[in-house]
Amino acid sequence: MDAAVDPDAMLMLAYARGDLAAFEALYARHRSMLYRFLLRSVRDTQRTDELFQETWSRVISARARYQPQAKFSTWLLQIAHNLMIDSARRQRPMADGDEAETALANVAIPEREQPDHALSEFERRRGLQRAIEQLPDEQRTAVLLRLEQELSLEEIAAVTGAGRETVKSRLRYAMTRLREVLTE
Amino acid sequence: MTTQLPPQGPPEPDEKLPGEAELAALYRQLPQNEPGPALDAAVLRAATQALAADAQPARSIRKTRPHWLIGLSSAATLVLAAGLAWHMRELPPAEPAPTSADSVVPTQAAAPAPRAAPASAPMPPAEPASPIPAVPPPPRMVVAKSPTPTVTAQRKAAADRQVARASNEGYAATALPQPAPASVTTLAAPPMMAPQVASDSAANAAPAMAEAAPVATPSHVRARMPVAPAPFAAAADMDTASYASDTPAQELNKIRQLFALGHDDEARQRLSAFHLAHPRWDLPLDLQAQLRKP
Repeated sequence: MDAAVDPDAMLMLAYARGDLAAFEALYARHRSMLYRFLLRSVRDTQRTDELFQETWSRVISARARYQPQAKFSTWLLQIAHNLMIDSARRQRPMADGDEAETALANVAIPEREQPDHALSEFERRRGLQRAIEQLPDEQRTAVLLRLEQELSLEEIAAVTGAGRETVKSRLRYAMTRLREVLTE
Repeated sequence: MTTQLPPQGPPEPDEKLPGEAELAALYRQLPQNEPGPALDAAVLRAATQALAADAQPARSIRKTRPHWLIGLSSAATLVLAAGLAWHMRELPPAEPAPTSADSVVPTQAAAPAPRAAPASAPMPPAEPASPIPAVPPPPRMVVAKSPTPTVTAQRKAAADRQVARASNEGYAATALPQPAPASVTTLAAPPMMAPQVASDSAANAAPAMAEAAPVATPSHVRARMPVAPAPFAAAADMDTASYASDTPAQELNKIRQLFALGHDDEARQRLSAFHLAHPRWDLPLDLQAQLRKP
């Protein structure tokens, strides 16, 4: 990936040269998507906060040796994914269904989506959340990267370390399962 | 064969999977969670501290590098100096190489035999062995302090007399090459060393002549003998040499040995000389017969 065509990479290089404003801009562009990806993957706000902070700490530490060989967002998600796997291996198992529902629902719901307005839509979103939580880890990660980040198959493969066809297969299985849950 | 060019522009999006568009629309309606302000502040604070830490080590490196370089350069200088000193100590003492080499080269060129050059090289110092030394004593001898100057002068005079005697008799230059450098040493050495060196030269000469003359004779008598062309000749030849101190019987024995060794001419000459010197000596019959031969 050429740094000249990736504004995020240019911001990262500017930060490596001592430009703090470049990092602030970079952080503003990616903070939300990274946080959501982590929260919907681990379904635990405390662990999400830890992983979120640790991911950015890795980015800060790697500023001197950063080489824009891929999109910055891909690199950032790759760091987060690796940290998430390591965390899942050494820490307690992921939150069960009730804890995950509480964590994901602990956000302000837009007023236009209040219960009397669209109860069916709320039920559909809740069903989608539960269906995503029940997916195997590899399929859930692939779906989140696809739906949240809108990454291509190659980018998802780069983040997860799997092959392109493997990612495509995981996505097919995951989306078929999600559709089945929503149509029940 | 064609060269594949890199892709231009953004890559084409992947084909949509079945039902992906509907799932994506529903997914976008999920709550948009975001990190809290405390988390944002923590991340930005870490980024700021990292830049501050970058600037601080740079200053410390600039401060510590000169000390490190100074230490290294000092150690390297010490090692170099010690190596040079060690190397200089192992070298032989300095010689007057350029001038003496220039003076020796023509001598070697003029010499008929190249092997004579090394032997002739130490000969020039033999010049001070002349009866009256033309070269004044070196300043070292003048400066040298001696508690008894009269004794030193007597020793020096004795050494000079010995050297002069040896030089007059042609003994030092022909029969014994060693005394000549020894005399130079005598002049260049401190006064206390002069008698010792002179006696050393005499001591060196004595064993050599003792081989030539089994009969004990005074050294000055031996030094006057003109018939000793080769002092280091074979023992058989030395036994037949004629000495003034020989008795007539000894001389006749040596003449008989010469005949036995086949030196008939020399034996007849010495027999004739003996007969002239002792005309009334009753020669043995064998020697009479040799004397009668033409």
